[in-house]
Amino acid sequence: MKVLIEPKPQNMVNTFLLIFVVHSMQLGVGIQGFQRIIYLEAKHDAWISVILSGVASAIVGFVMVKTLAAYACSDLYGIQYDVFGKWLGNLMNILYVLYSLGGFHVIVRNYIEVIQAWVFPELPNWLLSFTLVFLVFYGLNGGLRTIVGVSFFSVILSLWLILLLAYPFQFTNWDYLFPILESSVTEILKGAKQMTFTIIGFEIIFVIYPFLKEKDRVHKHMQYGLLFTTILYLGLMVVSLAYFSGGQLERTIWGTLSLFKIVRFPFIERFEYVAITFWVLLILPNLMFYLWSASRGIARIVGKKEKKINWLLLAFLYLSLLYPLNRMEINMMNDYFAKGAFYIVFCYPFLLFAAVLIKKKFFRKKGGANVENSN
Amino acid sequence: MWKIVIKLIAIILVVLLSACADPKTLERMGLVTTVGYDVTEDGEVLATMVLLHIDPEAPQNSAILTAKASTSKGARIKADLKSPKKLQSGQLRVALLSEEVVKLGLINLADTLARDPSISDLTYLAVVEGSANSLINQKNTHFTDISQLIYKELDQNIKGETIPSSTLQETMHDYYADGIDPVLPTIKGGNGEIKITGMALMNTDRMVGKINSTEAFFLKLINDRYEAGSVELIISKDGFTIVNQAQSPRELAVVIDTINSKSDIKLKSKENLEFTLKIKLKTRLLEINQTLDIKNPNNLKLLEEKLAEKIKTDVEALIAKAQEAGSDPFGFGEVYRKSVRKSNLTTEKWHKMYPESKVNVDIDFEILRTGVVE
Repeated sequence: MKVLIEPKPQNMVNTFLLIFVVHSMQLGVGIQGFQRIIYLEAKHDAWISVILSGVASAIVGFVMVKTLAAYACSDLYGIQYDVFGKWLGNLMNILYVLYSLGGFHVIVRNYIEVIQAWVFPELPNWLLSFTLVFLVFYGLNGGLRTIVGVSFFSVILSLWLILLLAYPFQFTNWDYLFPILESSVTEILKGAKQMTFTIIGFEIIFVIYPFLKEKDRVHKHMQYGLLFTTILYLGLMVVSLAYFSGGQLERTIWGTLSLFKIVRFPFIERFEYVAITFWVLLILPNLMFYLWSASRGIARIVGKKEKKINWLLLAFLYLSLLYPLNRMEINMMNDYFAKGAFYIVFCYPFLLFAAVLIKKKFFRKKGGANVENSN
Repeated sequence: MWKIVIKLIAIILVVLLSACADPKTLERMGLVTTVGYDVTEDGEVLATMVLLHIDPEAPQNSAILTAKASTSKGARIKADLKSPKKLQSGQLRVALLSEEVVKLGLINLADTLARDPSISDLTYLAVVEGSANSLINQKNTHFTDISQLIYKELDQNIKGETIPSSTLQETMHDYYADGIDPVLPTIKGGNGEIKITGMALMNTDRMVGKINSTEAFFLKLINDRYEAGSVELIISKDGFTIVNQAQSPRELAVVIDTINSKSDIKLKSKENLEFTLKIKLKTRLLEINQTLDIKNPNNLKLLEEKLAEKIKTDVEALIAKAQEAGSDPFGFGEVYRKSVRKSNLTTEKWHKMYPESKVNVDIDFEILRTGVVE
């Protein structure tokens, strides 16, 4: 495998678009119901947990970009191959591919569950997953630039949903946020850890990095994207805490969707139906990017074209989605995925960064120099 | 080649899948707009549903179905057996609960409503004095559709700030909060009319008492979620100079309309459980039942003082009444939870502490305007 990549200029995207890519990747199914999970740990100080998780994501984002900047133009697959060698490196690459596929699977599962619980209880799994898989396949056929376009429009076209928070705002009671810091530090940290499932997605930088045009502006735009997400989550959390009472929040599985339940227009009385079906647009970039990064991983390992791999992966994912799971099992799967994601997204980058630094320091003269950035 | 295949798949999907979700044709749906729950002698739920007719040729634009079962959803299944149209609860506006049901506890029924994604969180809950079934079934000449009458009446009065709001969301919110109890409006039928009589006081989810509509105004004043509406107050007329004293009634009735009100509850002492309730009230005078010379500043001042005194005693009486019933619709418990660190307040704990709490009421009352003439 070649460590360095030289993407064709027509496949590159503007670094500015990274804001949308990062934000749309973070926003997905987790946001539909993160309030309850955090509340169970940190009680009414859950909003502090959200801030902490935002800070953590900024730090990890910084480390990720630093790791990538150590190479001229490479991605996670190339770096792992370079740092850990052929066997271990490729093993790590396969692990990351599996993680991406897992992300895809978990998102589709959760979204289907929401659709079935709220809108169409009788709609079968195979149909919904087929529709989504087909959409992803369609998007992937256009290549990376199409996917980035999808993520751009997914953010722009869904911004107006934020305005609808004005409706639950009328029912808020700010007393529920007090007394501040009543939960202990460990509880708040546990709450922040529970944010993992909601806040992940920005690890896409590991794969998309070589395709960004202006490399020196990557870090800035990455942080903008992360900041935007953190502010959005914080706002949602604060409104939810003030809108629901404690016991109610503990029983509300999809807090964000329940917030939309109160929205009522003269021409459409039950707005959450619109919001839920609109959510396809929000998860679409997630699905496309996860599949794209998985198939890029495999393409890099075996040296084949991505398009054929897309086919195979989607067929495999589709079959895996047919296996029926109930609420308990989906919850368990989410927990396992979140645990794995915590290590992969929040711990592993530090390890990788250290490994890259060590390699840079000690092995520079021994032939590894050709792959490293000259500065 | 690829593009053709993809387009073909898309077209096939559109054609084939359009029937996959359960179609809901409006003409075939029976839209439940009001549902009333009673409890029968053998402990079952008696559900009464008002359906909206969309058929323009129907003699009446609503129909009423009644069914009895052990659970509310069971009753709905039985009602489906009596209905020519499939029952749908997406347009549910009001859920009526008979007094007996609420005395047993409403949470099971309310929870069922909240659990169903097709039911709006803005559905109003109300307590019926007597039987919900007979209230729905009563003959009324003013309105063709009884469910519209009930809904509009509740909606108008809640939006007009006469009574506190009691949507499903607010009821569930207060039920699950540790330091506040829900309140629901009570309504009563008779003579072809439906009247809002006041509010039901609840201890968690059981009804423990009733307050009348004037007391409901004070409750709203204390809760201060929004602003309070108008109220008629009766005070003694000692000290006023009143023209035509001979024919007038003994007491002075004054109607005021609040322009804005602000209430602030503070925990004064944690150990003695003492609260200070401060209400700031800016009002305009709407009516006095006697010719009082309000040009005279002394009169107006005296009126303000007397009204403030009256509101104070009424508010104190209301709080005492609620404390005796063991219901905290004001949210003193929430203030306690907010002000005391690590209070670990639970609903049970608060209900034990609440009757012993002491509230000092402080009213700041002002008449800003007396209308366009003096």
